[in-house]
Amino acid sequence: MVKLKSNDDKEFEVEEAAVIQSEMIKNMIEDGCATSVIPLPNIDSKTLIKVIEYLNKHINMGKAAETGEEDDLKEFDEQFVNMGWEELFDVIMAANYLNIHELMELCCQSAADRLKNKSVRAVREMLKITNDLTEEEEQEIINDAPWAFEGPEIDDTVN
Amino acid sequence: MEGNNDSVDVTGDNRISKLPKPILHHILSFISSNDAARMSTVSKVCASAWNSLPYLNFGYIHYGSQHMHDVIDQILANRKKNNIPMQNFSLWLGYYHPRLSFVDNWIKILVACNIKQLNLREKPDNVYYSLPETIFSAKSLTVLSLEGFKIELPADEHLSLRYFNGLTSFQVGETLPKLKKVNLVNLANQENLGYDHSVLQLIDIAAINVEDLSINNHSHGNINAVRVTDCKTLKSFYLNCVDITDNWLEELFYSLQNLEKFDLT
Repeated sequence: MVKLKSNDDKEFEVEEAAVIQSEMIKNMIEDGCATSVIPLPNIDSKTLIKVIEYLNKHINMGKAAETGEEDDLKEFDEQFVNMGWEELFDVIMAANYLNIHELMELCCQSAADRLKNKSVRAVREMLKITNDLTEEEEQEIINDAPWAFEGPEIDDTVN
Repeated sequence: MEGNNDSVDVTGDNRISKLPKPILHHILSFISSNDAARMSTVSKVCASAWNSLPYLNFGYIHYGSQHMHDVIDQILANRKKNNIPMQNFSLWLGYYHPRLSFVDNWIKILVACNIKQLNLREKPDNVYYSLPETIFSAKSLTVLSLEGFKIELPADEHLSLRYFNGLTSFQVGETLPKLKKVNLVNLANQENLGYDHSVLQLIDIAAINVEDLSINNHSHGNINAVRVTDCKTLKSFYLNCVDITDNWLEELFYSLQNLEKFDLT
């Protein structure tokens, strides 16, 4: 078992087989730097719980294909990314810091899927972005790339 | 989103703007350039992310999109001017064009920007266009995936050729020590073309470091000569629609001592 500590001082025990999906922690273990608790100053406990849930489910992922668990994992992944933007970005930052490639791909793909075909207004609203471009700057971009603003598929809803 | 209004930061600060640029780029790498360019008008951070985005996926370009050439010209010129190291460029030309010299120019710029993955497709009934020689100076290239384009010699680690009409033999020799993965799909000729074609007769792979080799000639008839020699590091080998004999198999297994996975259909 490996002990991880979140930035709000909560400790979690994770099986080594699960936690080594993080390249960062794997390297620490190989270098013998993981003898006691591993502090993770960039990750809060709420996010760490999500990451550990993913790691535990994806343990021995290479074997999933042989045992026919692929569909099960796919379903888990779909459910897993069913979270709000804030939480999704937290998990992306954690996956990036811990260097968990598959988790990073899964979450970035999910973020991208939500942005696909969305109108500018919808993106601003979904992500609570205040437009800090001046009207002239905005118009200049639109003039430069009119092809990006054409097409019937542009979706103005925020779901 | 509904019900989240109380979490709006009054300063107008938002999470996506605080993501490090490489992460924002990574997210944008999963969407088309169309979407990414539109997002550039969302805010200053998004505009700057788009202008330095090293992943460009233009998808399918329709007939009559002449102005898209100018758009791509301009976007690539901008990348080059700002020394953006390019990761990925994908494009599918979905129409007939008598001369694809504009593609030469794009490849030149992409190579200058150290392009890593290049995916180009054109309509199979187009005039087959040879990639410019510049492609061989693409030192950073790890994936080259072409459909309908001709190339005289392959590139670095990963070689993927699909629907290569007119190819009579495909040979990879020891001159490509970096080649690790080879994927060949439907290299013989398409029957629906009305004029005579040469048929792929020989595939000869002698690449000392290749680990993964896949040959699939589904729907184009069997290839009757496949030679795989000196591929001592080959681990995974897939063959579909290739004529083989017992003798051939025996010799193959004798020479491929590190083979872990062999599929034959």
